[in-house]
Amino acid sequence: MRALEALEATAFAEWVNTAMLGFPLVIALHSVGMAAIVGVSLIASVHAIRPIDGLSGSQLLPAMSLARAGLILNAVTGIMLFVSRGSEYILNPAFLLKLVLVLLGSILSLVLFQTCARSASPVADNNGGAAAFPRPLAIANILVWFGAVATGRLIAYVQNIG
Amino acid sequence: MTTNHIVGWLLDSPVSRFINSEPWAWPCLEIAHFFSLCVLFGSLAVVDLRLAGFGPPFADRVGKVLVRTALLAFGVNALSGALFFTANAPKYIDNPAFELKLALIGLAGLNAALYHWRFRPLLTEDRVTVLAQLSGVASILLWSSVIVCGRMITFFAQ
Repeated sequence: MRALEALEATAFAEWVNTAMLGFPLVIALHSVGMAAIVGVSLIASVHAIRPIDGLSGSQLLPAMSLARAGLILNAVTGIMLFVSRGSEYILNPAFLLKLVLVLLGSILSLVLFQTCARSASPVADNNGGAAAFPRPLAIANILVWFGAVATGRLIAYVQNIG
Repeated sequence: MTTNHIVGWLLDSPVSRFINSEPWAWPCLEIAHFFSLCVLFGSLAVVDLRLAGFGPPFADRVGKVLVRTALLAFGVNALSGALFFTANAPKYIDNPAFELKLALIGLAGLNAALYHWRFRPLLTEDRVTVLAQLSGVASILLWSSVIVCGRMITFFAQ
């Protein structure tokens, strides 16, 4: 807890917390990153569960690159938010659950994207790409990302532990 | 009828009273609002990036499925947004972030109309025009800005 309070006392954390657009801008960019990774993951997962007729892995590749960029933006801004208010967030059960779900969703999505990319070569492209990803994992990916979005919204409503 | 009358009428409506009296209603609306926005963003990203010139051409039916998905998500998004407004109109009236968000949604709508009338056939082509590429990039930037403005509403509320 002392380490988190020390982080909150840094000039950077102070800027995030006090600058007129510091916290709002960081949290807004956090949401843009989240929308990109969650949105594209959902489409790719649905495609893995029930392939969209005519859609191949290579056609999803550009969106998956955008999703990866979104995940990086989400992680960087998430760290910035944590640095500014870590001692508050670390006691929030919704935040802790969100963290676990985002990690799980990221792993599942990156594996799903990898599966699509592997089948995106012209030779293997006609098999639908994401269809090679196990359906139960695709369903889990949708549920995990829904949970991450839900817990993210609930951070403001859930009381801290202790 | 003045703005105050409308706000008073909205706040006194059964819908508003229900949302404000149930502690779970507002968080549930927030989850539905953001999750549907993610679906909209994801499905449009696939189409927009193709329009912007990335990736191989699509079959027309793929574009149709993705755009229909985005429209359905927009419906959920607009409905939950309207419920937010009904339950707490003073937060949104004269709020520059909310006004800018609505303007950006309008622009995104016009861009979507352009896609529908002009650029949709290009999804199946190997080459897309510069205007179509601009439209694809604009769509991603507009929806990203809509998300930013949506997040800013709370901070600009009086």
